[in-house]
Amino acid sequence: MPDPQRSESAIFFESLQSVLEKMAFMFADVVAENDFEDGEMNLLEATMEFKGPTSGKTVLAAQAELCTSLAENMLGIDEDEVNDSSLEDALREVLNMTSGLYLTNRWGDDVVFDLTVPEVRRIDEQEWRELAGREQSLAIDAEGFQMVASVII
Amino acid sequence: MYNILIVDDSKTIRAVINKTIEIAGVPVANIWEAANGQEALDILHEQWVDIVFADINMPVMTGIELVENMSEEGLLETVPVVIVSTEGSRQRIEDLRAKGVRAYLRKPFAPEALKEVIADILETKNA
Repeated sequence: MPDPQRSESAIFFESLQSVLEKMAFMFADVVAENDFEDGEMNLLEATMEFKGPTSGKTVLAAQAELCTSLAENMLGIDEDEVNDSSLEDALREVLNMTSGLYLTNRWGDDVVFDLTVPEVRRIDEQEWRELAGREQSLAIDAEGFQMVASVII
Repeated sequence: MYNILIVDDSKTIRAVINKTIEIAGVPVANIWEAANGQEALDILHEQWVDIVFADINMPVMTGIELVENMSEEGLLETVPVVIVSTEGSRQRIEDLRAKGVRAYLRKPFAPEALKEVIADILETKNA
């Protein structure tokens, strides 16, 4: 896992923190990858690409339970009202906002980027571990749930 | 009482804006939702709308294309558009204003920011 002080990861994480706090009223911290609990997990991954003076990809992977909390908080609904579509959309939108904020925070507001529409898919634990093990990835604890954030340039 | 149109391909964001409008205490007659610019235009052709909140990046018809169509049809003169987007480029925001967009709200936004935008626009409308 990278040093969380690395510029890209740190800025991306700060942007994610801002989004989670403002839109979902949730707090997040970077943790060590080996602090992640093992066990069967229901996992989702959102990805999007950006193109401009620099191009790359941003990724957020999270436990489905975290996505459910995101949907509950952002939509103001109860857990039993959350369905697959709403929890996927919540994760998609968190990545969308985080990526936009990251690009401005990283390159300033004079630079123009094109962003793709985020895509969400279910992933298995092998894919989760591979993502978490990448040099550009950060392991995150958001209100007791696990998340992995990655910026690939 | 105002008629509001929210245009975003994300159900989550439409719900967030909807909830924020409610919290802001805006007197609302109707809130319509559209998942893209074409659906929004269809609603604008059928209903009187006082404010449009629109994202930029949407399938079928983008927010920018929606604004351009509204301008061509003369709708921008009477229906203010607020762009709600992750877009942060100063150039793009200036381009949007040049096309006739009334205000810009950057995601993520605090409820107070949305409330201020609504208050400014409705005050101007009623002046």
